[in-house]
Amino acid sequence: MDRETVNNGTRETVLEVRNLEKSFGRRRIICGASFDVYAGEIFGFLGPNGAGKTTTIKMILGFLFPDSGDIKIMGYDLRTDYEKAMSFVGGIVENPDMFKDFSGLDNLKMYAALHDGVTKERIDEVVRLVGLEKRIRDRVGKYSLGMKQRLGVAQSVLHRPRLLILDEPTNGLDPAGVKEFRTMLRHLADEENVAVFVSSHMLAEMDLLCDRVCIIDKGVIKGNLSVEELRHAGGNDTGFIYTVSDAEKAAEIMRSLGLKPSIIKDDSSPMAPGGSISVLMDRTRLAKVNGAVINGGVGILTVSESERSIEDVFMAITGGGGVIE
Amino acid sequence: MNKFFSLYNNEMKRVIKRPAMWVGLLMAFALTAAMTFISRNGILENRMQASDKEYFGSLSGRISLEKACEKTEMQAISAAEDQLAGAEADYIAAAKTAETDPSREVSEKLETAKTAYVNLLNDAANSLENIARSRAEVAVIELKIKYELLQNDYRSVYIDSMLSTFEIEHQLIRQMDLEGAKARYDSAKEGSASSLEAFKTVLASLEPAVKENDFVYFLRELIRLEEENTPSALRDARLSGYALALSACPEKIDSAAGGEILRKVREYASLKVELDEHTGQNFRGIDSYTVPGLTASVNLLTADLTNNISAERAMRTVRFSRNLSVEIELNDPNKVVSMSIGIAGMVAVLLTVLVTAGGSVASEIKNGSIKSLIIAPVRRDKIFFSKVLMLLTVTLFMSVVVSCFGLLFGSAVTGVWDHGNVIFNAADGSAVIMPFAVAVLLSTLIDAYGIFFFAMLALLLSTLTRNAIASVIAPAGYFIAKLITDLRWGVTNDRLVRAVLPLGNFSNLYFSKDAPALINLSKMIVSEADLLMGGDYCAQYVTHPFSALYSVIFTAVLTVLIIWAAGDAFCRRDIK
Repeated sequence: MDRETVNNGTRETVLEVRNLEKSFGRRRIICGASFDVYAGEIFGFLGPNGAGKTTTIKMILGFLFPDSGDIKIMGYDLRTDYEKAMSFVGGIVENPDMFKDFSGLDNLKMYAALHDGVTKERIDEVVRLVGLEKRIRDRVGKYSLGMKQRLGVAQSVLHRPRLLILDEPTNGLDPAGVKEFRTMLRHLADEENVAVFVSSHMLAEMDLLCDRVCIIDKGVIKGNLSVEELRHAGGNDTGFIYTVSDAEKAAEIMRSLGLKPSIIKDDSSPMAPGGSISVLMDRTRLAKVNGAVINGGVGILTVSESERSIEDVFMAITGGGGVIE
Repeated sequence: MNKFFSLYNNEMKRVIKRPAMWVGLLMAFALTAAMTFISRNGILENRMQASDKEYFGSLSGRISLEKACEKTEMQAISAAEDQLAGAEADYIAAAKTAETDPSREVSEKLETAKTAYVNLLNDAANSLENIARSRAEVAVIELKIKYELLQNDYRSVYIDSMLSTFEIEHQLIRQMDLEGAKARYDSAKEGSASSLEAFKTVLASLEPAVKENDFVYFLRELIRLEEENTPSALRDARLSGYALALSACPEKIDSAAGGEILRKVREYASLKVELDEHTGQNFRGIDSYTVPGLTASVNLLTADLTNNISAERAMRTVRFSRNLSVEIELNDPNKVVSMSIGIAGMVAVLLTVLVTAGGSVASEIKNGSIKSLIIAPVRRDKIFFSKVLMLLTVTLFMSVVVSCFGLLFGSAVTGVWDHGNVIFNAADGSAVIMPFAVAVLLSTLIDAYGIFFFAMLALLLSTLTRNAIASVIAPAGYFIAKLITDLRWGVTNDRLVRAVLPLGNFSNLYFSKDAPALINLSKMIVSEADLLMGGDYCAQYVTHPFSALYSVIFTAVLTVLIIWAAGDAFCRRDIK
């Protein structure tokens, strides 16, 4: 097993991806992607739609075959030691699809039969973990989306994987479910030393969840840092949030000054009837920008400093802008 | 290996859980039951009797030929029959007169008429022999029998007729040592007061060695009829029928179905005698028409019972005699059973297996349930072969269950539980005899082999196209096209047609005189393999015994290639 010394500790490399390439026809989807995932961390894989997140995940999980490059899980090459490598992996890709004619329990049993060492007690434990005790014997076809998601999580952790791969795992979950999910992943990473690989476009959620993030755009890895490092990656720029009388007009003025503002629409806020704007800039420019906005006929109600989020960095790195909801 | 069997176990659980297999079984049962009811005796008896009466009522005595026969042959046979009709009429009239008037003048007239008839008979037999060999073997043999009948003591003629050119009975004849029996009869006759005493002597010598069947039964019947002094016309008809039934399928005489043959023979003969007595023409119908008609009916019945005579040959024979065709064929209880299984039940099995195969990859990819298999630590080739094994299991299970149901249901409906044996034999002395139920099971397994081929085709399409519907429709369409062309051109001699279209015959078994019994048996396999191959692999024109093997091997190789291609596609293609 590979070991890498990072910062204060020695961490085990669970997933190693090197120079991954994938094309569909003439369209190059993944271009030389390389990254590592370590035991005990929650690794976020971020990117806009069509960046190649799901394609990368599917190659790691064996759905797709890379054109070139290496994927190693716990040191086992996916190409030459497929079964050994995959024995360490659990995953949910897109919506988890079980066999609808069977109960949740039967689905878990069928899956358990394909792994070594999964006992009946472990199945019961996992069912309790995801909170499906009362419905586990019902047909999966009758499950709600949230229940299917829980069952998918149960299936993915059934065999105590070392690497858990989740693609858009909180889709369909209510806020309470999302929080519960976050807590469970944290537990897996911290207490069971599982490497959790999460792909999502819910940047705020990833900000709260991840230890490290990797940003991919147009098939190219654009950034691979811890969340803290990422927040400071833009240098001295500080995040500011404006509540204004006319967010559209204010954003236009800021763009004319070379900034990249993001309009935050929050219709439920009585304090920001005209909208809010998030923008990164050097704090020395604050006065000038404020003046320009006011001179442009837009009233500024409040200006507050925000901690730079990975959303801000994401937008900066990928050139994102526009409406965030 | 454990993981492979876990995968297979999971596949079986899924297929058992889904309704497709059970709906398919129910459909197979329903279709089998429906076909059993349609093809059983009772529905057709009335029709047959009516057609028999119509047939026997034909006083012109022309035997109409099937349109499939070539025109020249028809004309030749018709011309021969025309020539014979007049001479025969004269001879029969003279014979009738001679029975009551022993005067010299009448005897001379009888002799003249007989000579004329015999000469014409001989000429007709010689001229028709070459033509009729391929088209109307029975008619030629009948002409020969009639010729010999008039030349010799008819008792020995009947024994001789059993040593005739029928392919089938050679082996059985040898087994029964009929030549030895004939020798003993000839020997006994020299030293006996009468033919009857000679027969009794032969019978006594045979009884300890031969079981109560077949030849012994025949002899007993002969003796009984002699002693009962039945009217000669009826006696002749009966003996003719017995002889030919015996020659075609001697083992069947004592079975329930064999008894049925005799019953029909007696019925036809009785009916004809009544009709002739009513019209005043006693001999004519029996000699010219009843015998071939009886021969045809007997051949058909025995062909169906034993599968020894090919369906086409039997059909040819029947067509030559016109009326006694499909009705009789379907009257056979064994045929009722085998048809209902083969034509109805197994088709339902095929469709069910296609649906299962078509959905096994395509549907799982479409609905995403295959993800849990791909994520599991099992190689794709194990996943694939677990599906292949599942399909094989389903095919075999459904085939065996449907055939058992068909056998039991058919037996219950027809009331016949003892179906006797099926004989595959050849002139070289080899023979394979198996109980009917075993033959049905074997035939079902061969059907299953063909169905498995189609299932693999569906699996290949499912893997390549990822479209479950197309994966089912394409092989089903191919099968239906084959079925239609098979029924339409199944008995054609046109090699080009057979080569181009995917033809085969469900029950078209042709046995080569020169081939060993195992090859003949393998032709049952070939006839199913023909469903896949068509063309010159068709068994009916197999001139080289090795050709049958070619077809079997080629089909197996084709199936393996299809599995390999499907497996390669499943293992190497991205699952998006």
